[in-house]
Amino acid sequence: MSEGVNTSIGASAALDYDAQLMLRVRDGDGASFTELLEKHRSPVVHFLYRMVQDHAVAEELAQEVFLRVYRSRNTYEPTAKFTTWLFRIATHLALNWLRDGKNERGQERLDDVTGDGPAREVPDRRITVEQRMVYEVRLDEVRRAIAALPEKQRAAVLMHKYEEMEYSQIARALDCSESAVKSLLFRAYETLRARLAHMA
Amino acid sequence: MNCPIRNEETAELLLAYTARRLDPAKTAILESHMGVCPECAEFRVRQEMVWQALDTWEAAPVTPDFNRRLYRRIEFEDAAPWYRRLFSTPWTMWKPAIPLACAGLLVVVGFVLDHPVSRTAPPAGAPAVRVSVTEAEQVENALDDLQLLRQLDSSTASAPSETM
Repeated sequence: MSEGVNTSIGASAALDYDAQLMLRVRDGDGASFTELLEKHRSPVVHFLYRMVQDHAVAEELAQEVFLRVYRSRNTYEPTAKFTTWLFRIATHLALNWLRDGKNERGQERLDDVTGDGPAREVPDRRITVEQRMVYEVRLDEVRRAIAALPEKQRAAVLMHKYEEMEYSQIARALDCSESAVKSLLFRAYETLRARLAHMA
Repeated sequence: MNCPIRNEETAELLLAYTARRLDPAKTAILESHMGVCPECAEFRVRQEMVWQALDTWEAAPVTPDFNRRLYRRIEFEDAAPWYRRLFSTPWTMWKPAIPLACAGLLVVVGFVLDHPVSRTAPPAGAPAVRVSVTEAEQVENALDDLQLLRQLDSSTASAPSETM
């Protein structure tokens, strides 16, 4: 069944390149670390932002992710795809943060219509105030729907939808089986269909 | 073909289809199926609405000083003394040592349980016993001395009356 689903294009090439960069970091090449940082900084911050829904916290957690990558350079072994390892660290940090009960502030921020962090760019400056308000309402609804998902379902959906990760990668990042990931995604999308389908 | 949404396991086909991650052969089969299956067609419409809704959520850009802050933290860590760096090491690096530490702890616990320390019956020949024996002898000697003194006192008290 799953063999019919496309694997991401050039996955093996990406594995080789990122892993090679990390091995160069292990050998003391700082430029390779910068390259890895430039390549993966935005996806990691965006994933963490959608997990914790607080931009400042997301950046702080992302800093910790890359700090851990740097600290682990001497013991790094390319046993898995680099991005899987990276998102595994990010997921663990996000889940720990959420479980520590620090998410209360994050939930409060959901009530803040203006949002947080750097100003979100509106795609087209010619849109009317009414369109802007509709956009904000829709966005708020999406954020609430994602925030309402159980933590693991949330992480699975974010990795599947926004990072386009394969089931096997999500499974490794979440420390569970591929069938468990399929089940998590099925239930999560079922919930989202019920909550968001009316929006289109 | 069987209707995918009647089976949780095969519903991933439809998810993959709506995410455009299905290979062309399976896409063609599924599309022809959806032409005759209203349930699957509705599933596709609703799932595509979810994708569109999720697409509206664009994350805010990363702050420009992200790298600078990170490099400052790395420099700070590199300049830290070795013992601080040791404690900042990810705990996963200590993982191999955990079973060893547990085994060591079990050995110590097992040894302690097998050789309980008893306060009521200390082993013979231990220094504490020798001290107590010495004390007992001293007490016995002291009592003997007292008895001798008492006898001496009584004999000296009776001696002058006899002479007078």
